[in-house]
Amino acid sequence: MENNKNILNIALADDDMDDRMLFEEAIEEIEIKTKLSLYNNGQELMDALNLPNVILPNLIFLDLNMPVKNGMQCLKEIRMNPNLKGITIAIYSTSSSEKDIEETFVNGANIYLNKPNNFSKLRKSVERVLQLDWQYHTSNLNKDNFLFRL
Amino acid sequence: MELKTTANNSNKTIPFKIALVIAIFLLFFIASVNYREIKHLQTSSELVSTSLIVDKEINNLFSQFSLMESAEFRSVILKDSTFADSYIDYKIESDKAFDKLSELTKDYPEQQAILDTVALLKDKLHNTLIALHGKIGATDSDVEVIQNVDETAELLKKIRSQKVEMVLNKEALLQERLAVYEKQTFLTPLTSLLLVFFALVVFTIAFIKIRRDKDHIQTSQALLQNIVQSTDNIMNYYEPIYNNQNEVSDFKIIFANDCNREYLGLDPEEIIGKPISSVFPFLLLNGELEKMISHYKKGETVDFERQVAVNGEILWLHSIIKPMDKGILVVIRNDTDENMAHEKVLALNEQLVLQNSIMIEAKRMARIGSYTWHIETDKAEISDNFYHILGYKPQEFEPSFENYRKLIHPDDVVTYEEIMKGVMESREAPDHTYRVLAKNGDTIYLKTKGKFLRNKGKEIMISVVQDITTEMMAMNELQKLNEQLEVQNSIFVDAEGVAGLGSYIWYLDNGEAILSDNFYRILGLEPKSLEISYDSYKQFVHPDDLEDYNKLGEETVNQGESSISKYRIISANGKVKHLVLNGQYIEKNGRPTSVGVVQNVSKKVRADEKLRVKNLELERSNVELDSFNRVASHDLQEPLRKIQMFLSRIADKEGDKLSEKGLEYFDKVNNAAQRMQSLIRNLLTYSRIDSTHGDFEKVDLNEVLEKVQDDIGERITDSNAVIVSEQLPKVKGIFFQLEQLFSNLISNALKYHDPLLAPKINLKSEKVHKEQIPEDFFKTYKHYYKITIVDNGIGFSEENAGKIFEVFQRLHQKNEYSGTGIGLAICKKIVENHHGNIHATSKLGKGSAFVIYLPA
Amino acid sequence: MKINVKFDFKVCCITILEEQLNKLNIPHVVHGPGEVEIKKSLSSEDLNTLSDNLNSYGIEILDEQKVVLVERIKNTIEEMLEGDEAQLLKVSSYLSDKLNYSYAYLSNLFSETTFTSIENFIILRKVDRTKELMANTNLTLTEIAFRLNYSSVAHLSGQFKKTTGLTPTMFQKIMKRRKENSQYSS
Repeated sequence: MENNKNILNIALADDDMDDRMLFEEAIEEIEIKTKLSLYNNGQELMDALNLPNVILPNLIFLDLNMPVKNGMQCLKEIRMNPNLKGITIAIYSTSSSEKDIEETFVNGANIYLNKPNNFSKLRKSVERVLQLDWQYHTSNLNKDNFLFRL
Repeated sequence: MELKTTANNSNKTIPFKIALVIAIFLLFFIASVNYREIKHLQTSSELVSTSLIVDKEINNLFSQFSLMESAEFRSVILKDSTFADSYIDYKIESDKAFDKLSELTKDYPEQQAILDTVALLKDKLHNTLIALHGKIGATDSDVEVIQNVDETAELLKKIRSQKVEMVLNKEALLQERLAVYEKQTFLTPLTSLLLVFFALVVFTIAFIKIRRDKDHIQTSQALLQNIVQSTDNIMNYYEPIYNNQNEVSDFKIIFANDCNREYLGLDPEEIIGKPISSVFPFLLLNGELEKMISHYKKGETVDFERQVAVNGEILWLHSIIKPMDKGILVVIRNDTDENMAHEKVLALNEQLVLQNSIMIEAKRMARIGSYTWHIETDKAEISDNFYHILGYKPQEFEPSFENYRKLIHPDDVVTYEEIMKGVMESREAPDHTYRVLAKNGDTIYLKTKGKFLRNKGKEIMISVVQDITTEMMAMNELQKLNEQLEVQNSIFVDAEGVAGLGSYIWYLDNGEAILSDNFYRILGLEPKSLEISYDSYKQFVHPDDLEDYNKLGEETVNQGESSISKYRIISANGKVKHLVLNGQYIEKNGRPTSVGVVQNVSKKVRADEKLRVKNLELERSNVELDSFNRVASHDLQEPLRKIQMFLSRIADKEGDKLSEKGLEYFDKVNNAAQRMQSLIRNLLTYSRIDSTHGDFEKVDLNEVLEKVQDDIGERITDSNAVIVSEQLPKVKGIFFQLEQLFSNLISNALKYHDPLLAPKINLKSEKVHKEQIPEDFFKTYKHYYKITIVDNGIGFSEENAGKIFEVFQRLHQKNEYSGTGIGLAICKKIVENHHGNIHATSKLGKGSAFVIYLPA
Repeated sequence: MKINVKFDFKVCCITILEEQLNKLNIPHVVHGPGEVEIKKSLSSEDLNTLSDNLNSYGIEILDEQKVVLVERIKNTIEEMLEGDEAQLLKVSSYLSDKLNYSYAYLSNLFSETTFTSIENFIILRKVDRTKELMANTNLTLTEIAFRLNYSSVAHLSGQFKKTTGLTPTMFQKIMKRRKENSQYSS
């Protein structure tokens, strides 16, 4: 219990194995204590979230372009579900189209992170996401306005 | 008029009446004065007669005394005593006279005093005489007698003096009286006479005047009577009838003139004396009687108009009721005719107004105006419609010859003046047509016709003008058209050949056809080498289109036109040709005919087909481009990203294990991957610049520049570049595209800078008219902003100026300058997407200038 | 149906704290939303109960001295930003004056605990205020810049963009669309 309180629960849904691996490596290099759960697609993620008595992640990284259930669908479902509403959602995508960015924010994403093309950038970005999330949870910041594009 | 004079007369008679009164007063006055005068005269004459009596009595008395003395003396002398008796008689007589005298003079104390003295003297005389008388027998006593006689003489003497005194006294009195009388009566006779005369004159004048007035009144009255009887107005005079309460309840007809008979069928003789309620029973019904009574009481004159029906005829009666002192005068005018006439006039007027408006409307419709010109005064009246024709509001300008002349079309002024001169000389204004300039500057053709008239001795010219602009225009148009037709006709023959046109005349009754030379050529025949009819033409029609051709024939014959407008033929030399035709139905020489043109559109059809294919290809390539975008954005980028990612992992984890050579290769791989990445990104950007303008908004280029400077700030500071900009305008566009544009251009300038110089970039802006822009592009706006970005970089040779904006055109070796060769192509696409133009000028080694035009 | 609410964080927190403390009959003085003085020593059992009870409201009992200090730093920054003299003083001197620690110590402690610098936190805080004012008021960007002591709108926009990765306009557009979306869905 004591542990749970200070460990940040993080989930990543991405169909790309390499990306999952790199992400995991990046997380490991970050000081902040985290527990990462990986999902191969949106459906897997949603199934996990809807399990009874599940320890919900504080933060979900969500790829947009996924088979079975894509990121946007997951985002909408999470935001529709009162139980999941408090979770911070970071979109983690290769797309840098303005349209995609706007749509995800409109549908309730908190952070939009472009998949970087080198590892140190990835690590820094993920770290920043964690920091922001931390700030929004520990300081009196208005979660309604939790919007960042990295 | 008559009444007025009478009234004046009564005024005039007032002074005469006053004069008359004065005259009467004068007569009374004179009479009373005369009476007094006569009284005076009587008194005076009485006084005179009294004094005469006194005089006589005085004389009588003193004569008695003398007689007594003489009688005594005689008796003494004659000693006769008889004489003594006469003396007594004398004495009685004298006493009587004395008494009478004293009676007469009792009012005069002086005479009485004298008489008293006389009485004493008389007594003394008597005594003396008596004494004497006693001596008549005694002669011895002579001495005594003598003494007595002496005494007597003495007494008599005294009495005589008294008599003289009395007479003098009386004379004085008489004189006094006379003086008084004369004093009182001195003026009376003359004044009286004058006054009487005056009074008489006044009387006479007044009489004459009054007489004349009376005559006058008599004449007036006769006239009035005449008028009353001969007037065509009913004139009745009523007097009130009082009821028990002493209130007016009715009127009695006192006078009625003959018109009653004429209009109302009532005999005036019969109705006079009767109450009006019985003569005019309707007065009771409509309450007019009460009105009349009340007006009579108030003394008001009223008049009213009413319609009555008499013997089935409708009469308009205008009644005036005028209360007089004793009754009311009722004048009823039968103004039926007037009313009828008035109504007629109204109707006529209405009709005239209607006609006038019809006339005005007609004038307006026909664009006809008119004017009247008073030649001597140069005053004119211009009809409203003439003003309208000239484009002015009615009365907008003062109508005069001079003012009108100003409106004449400059080209027609000379002619117009000549014509007007002729008109003035001949006094005849024949038709002529000239042009005027309307207010709005339009040229208007006016056709005018005038006529000279004399009106009240003044010469006027009336003229009708008609706006025949439309007709003239049509005529001009027709003339032009004719000329054009002539030209066209000659051109047509040539054109037919050039345009692949042929024409035909097709008689629908028997199918005969006449084809133009070029039609024959289209058919692959020598002109006129073959007789063609509807049926024989079929040999040329493409078998697949025969059905259409038959339909064409059928429809044209039946309806004059057809829905079929194209078919193919196979010409005599075996070529398939596409023909388009356009026929028109006319009656030619009384025969149903279709004339038309055919065009050989084979080339166009083929070109269209090509275009269609091209379009399809383009569409396909667009779709391909879209999918390429998708591929580029995801599918191409993904593996590349991973290559880079793992490269970075290798560098992180295994970098130190690589040999020097290996590190060199590793860097090359890294660079290649990076170039690949920016290539893909730029291509993506390029393809994303589409031409949708929905999200155009006002973009402040200063902000754009600021943002770009912010974004590439690192590079600016690294290269010690100086960027100077004038105030830039706001343009309509898409912010991020313009940002990209500026970013690319500035990056470019930084990239190709002279290694020996710090980069300097200058931005200038000015607004220019499209005519001032020498560069050739499609200028849809009037004004453009010309934004020039000048750098001091290495520049490029002029011959490459066009090339640099093409995709993948690089002027430098890859390893010399990094870049994808898309940057300026993106710039060009962005500017063109903003309806602008970009070009560059440069000299190798002298820097370059990029000029952008964006719509202002 | 949807209602919009606005609440005062401090009041909420203090009310909940008071309620929970009273419920367990713990004598106390509340010094602010971040600090409560307990008038007696608590048994570990009571402390656990209180901790659990408060946890359900998202309130944590911070037992470490450092964490408490970090909270105090945050609160002080908050006060500073709320106050009028906000930008008149340097953050460093303001914080060391208020908290009686050297700025270097505070800065280190803060970074250690929150993984971010005090400066970054302040920027984040200010951007958050900007977001709030943009989302909940009709103030223009110029007015917001003035209110939050930015030297210019450009400065505000720049910092906003740098921090959030979004332009203020973009942010506003998104918030507007979110509102429309939620209205539409409900």
